[in-house]
Amino acid sequence: MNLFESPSTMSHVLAASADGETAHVFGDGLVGVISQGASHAPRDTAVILFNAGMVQRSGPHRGSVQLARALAGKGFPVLRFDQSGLGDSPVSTRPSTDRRQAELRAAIDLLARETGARRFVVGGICSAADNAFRVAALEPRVHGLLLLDGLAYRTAGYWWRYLPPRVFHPGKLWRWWRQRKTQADMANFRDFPTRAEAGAQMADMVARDVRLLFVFTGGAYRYFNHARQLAACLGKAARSPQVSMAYWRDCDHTFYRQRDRLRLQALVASWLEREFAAKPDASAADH
Amino acid sequence: MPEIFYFGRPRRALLGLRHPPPVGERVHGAVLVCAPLLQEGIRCQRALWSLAETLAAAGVEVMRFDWFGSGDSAGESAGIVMPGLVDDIASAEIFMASPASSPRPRLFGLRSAALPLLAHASQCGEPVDIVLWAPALDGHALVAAWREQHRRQLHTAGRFLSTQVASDDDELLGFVLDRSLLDDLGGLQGRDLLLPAGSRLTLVQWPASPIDAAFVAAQRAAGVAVEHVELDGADEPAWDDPDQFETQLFPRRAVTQVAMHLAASA
Repeated sequence: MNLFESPSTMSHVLAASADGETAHVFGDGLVGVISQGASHAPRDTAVILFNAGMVQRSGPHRGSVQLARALAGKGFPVLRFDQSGLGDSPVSTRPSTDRRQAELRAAIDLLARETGARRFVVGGICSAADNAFRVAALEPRVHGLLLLDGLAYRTAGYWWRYLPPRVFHPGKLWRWWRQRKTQADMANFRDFPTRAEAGAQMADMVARDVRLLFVFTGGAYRYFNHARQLAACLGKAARSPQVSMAYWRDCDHTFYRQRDRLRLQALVASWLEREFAAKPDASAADH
Repeated sequence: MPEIFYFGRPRRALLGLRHPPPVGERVHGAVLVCAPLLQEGIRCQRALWSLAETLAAAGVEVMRFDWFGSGDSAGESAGIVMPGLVDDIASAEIFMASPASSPRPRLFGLRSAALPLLAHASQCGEPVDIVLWAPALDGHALVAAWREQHRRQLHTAGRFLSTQVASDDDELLGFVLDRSLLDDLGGLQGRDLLLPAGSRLTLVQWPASPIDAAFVAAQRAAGVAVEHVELDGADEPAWDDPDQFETQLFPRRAVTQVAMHLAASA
């Protein structure tokens, strides 16, 4: 079929794209797209991806679109949306925490209405992961968190691994010196709770049987540099069976290379299938 | 508040965003906004949203869209090809111009959107009204800059912990691309893409980056009325700075100035 056939055959507004995607304005004017796979029976678990940092909902290098389509192909509907003041969504006048919570609730209500899902996994990259972590504890319909370069805290072990190679390696020392001003510190854009608050919140979520997937990349090296650092900074809840973790030192913060985006899609899909395979009973879902 | 929808052919569905003027406002003109390609399209997204909202508030009907294989439109980035880009503009223009009573939209392109826009407009049989902001008019130079930026991102920008990183041959700037896109874009020169006689061409530029005089002369010789809009100040973004590769480009003063000019001249 010729994709460039005469425009006169073009229909007007389409109900959905050929990929099974629908566009929505919801909540206080938030803009989002839902991906639903056509070839797989829908599951009761859906995923919500917040936009990452200042980047719109399609994600850096379109990674959120690719991830959404890959997960939808496995039967997990995905909503990716722009938080207020970002992407195509208007600025909100609400205070920060109220706003985030209201936006998550509106996103969950939309997805539940459109897909019938009853359990929700929330997440994203960087500040999107931070927001997901903060609001997940307040929303009982959240059963999972996907945190890509999400929160973590520097430990003594972090500094022990970080400093010596730089102090004793002139090339690395020079690179750090050259980039210290031109590269904005990721911490400037982050909104971590205190370490004690994060540890307590993590313990609460684990007690609620929320499943968490942390993926750290080499792009988080300014605050994370070893797989065991998560448990060292967040306590024994981070060692519980509900928590899964991957540390990809060879990958960058925004998954620049296609091979890394494909690796991420495979990891998240297998985690979802493992952790959210069975339907919960009604009382658990409504809890 | 914008309206969001898919339009076009089902197999080539494009995501569109309509920014309507306030209800009751007299509509005077329409603008179809074409975003830059690839990474610049991501970086300029909020600036173009702001431009569209400002224009709509001033009574101009605005539509934005994602290219096929980009943003939320159907397809993969490997499906972005030059004929497809031209087709996307035609589809959006037709969509925006229906019903038939709607005015033909003014075409607006930022940076690397210029070459597909010129390729489209040069094929139109009738005069067009087109606005190019800081246009990339030399396809060869554009593709060379993209390749250099890609090399820097892999090896020198500090993106990866190792500087010995490789990507696949078909990747550029974080996207998998069809080779023909780069070949076709690289072979285009703005001065060869002449608009139909009687067209109006508005060139928006910063003082430090003047637009190729040969391009302007060629368009004028073809019977095109060319107008220059020079932006105030020095808020031109650092388009090619590898350390700012992922930052949003939002020169607020320039966006407002461009919107005011477009609204006044609609």
